[in-house]
Amino acid sequence: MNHRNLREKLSAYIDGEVADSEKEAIERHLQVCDACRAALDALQHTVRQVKALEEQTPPDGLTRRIMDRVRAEAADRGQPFWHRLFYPLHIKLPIEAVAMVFLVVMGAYLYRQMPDDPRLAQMPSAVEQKFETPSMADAEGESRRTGIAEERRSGAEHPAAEYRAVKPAPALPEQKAQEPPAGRPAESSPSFAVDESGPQRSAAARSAPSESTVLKKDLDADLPPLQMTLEVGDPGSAAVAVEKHLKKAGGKLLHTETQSGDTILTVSIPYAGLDSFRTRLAELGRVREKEAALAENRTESVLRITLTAQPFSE
Amino acid sequence: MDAPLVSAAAGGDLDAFEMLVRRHQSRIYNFVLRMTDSPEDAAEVTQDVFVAAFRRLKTFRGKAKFSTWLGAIAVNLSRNRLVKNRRRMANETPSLDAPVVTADGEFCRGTVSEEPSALERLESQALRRVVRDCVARLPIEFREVVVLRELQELAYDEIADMLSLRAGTVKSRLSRAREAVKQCLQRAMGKLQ
Repeated sequence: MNHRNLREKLSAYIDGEVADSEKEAIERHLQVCDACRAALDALQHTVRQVKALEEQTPPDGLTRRIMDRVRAEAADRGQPFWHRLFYPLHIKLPIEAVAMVFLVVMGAYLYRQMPDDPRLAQMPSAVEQKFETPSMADAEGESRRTGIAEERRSGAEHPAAEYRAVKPAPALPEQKAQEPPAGRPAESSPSFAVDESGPQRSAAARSAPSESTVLKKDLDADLPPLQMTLEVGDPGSAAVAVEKHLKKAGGKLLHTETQSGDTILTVSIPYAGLDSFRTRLAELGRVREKEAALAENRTESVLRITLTAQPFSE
Repeated sequence: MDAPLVSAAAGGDLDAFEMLVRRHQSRIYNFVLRMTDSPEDAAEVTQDVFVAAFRRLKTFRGKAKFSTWLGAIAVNLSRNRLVKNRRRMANETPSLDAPVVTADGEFCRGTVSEEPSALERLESQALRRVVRDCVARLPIEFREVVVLRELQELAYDEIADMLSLRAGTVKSRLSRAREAVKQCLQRAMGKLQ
């Protein structure tokens, strides 16, 4: 056994916690090694010094204090739950009242800090949708860009809008008859008033869906697509360009058909990209829209773009 | 010997519990005192130990000795108090490098004395203070085994039960703890004779 091994075992050796074989080996080594014997002596001396620390008497009254707390604990244990919760009244009740006030104040504060749900702002009820129209400014801007005034003057060329037009500046005679009844919001589309105005409805208004039909329809999914006509030199190559602009605006092509030489594209486009898409189309040819603007709460729009080879007409 | 009292106390007999308190409070108090080195903390923690024991009495299954079970509670609550008072204890522990003032004058630590016995030159009271300080400066895990073995005179397996350690760990930890105390005393008093 080397010195290091032996010294590691000296502590257990002095406590008699070594195996008999180890004990013999240790004692044989100690007989011939002065250094290890000195280490043993030092260790035993240390243990004696620590053992010599006197036991202290607990302070007076310690037992009584312990038993006072234990008796209080035992008495409390025998009480019903509500008693332990509220008694002693003069201590627990104020603390619990303060805690309750704190919780209420914190709850109100956190509630007021919560941001409004943006989805609620974007999703009006079906009734609100019925009366909502684009703003006057948007409608007038679109009119100037797309020639909506011309469209209205030549309104006999095109079938009436499948759903309501905006309310731009000059109201056509047939639309004047469709003024909404008193009590309705001023911006409501003339066509929304169709059903209310009874026999005064014009041909254009009569083709508009009834209020009850509108109320029943889902906001984004079931509304008829926006109608747009683009007069171009070559509808075929114009269709390719339209698709390219559509992708840039984040939209997608839903359907393509050919009708009487015209190419009709049904597309879906996010509302956010609609304006830039219109601008691009205007660069390809003359745009004529049946709908000048959209309800602001739509996230996506469906357009039916008719590419026709007819020349510009004045 | 504790079993009947424990059984009665668990059934609600407070007099039986008081007898257990009187029987074990000195041992618990001294253990906590050596761990915390503070009579005030020792008194408070001792109370906490017995109140905790009273609350948990019904969970005591009797597989270990009641004294071992009670000691384990004292170990845990002492540790909690030490963690809480760590900064205070570090500030209050005297420096072992400061000279020891004796009746014969100042004695500078760390010098190797050629006199017959350095220990004989120190007042026994001063020596006990040094020893107490050396124990108090031990890391908590070393201090526990030294106090339980040297002062409480518990067997290795009982210490292992109380500290939830293997017997081999107790053995090695005690060996290192004693070596640490020895070196601390040597630094404080010079060469031990």
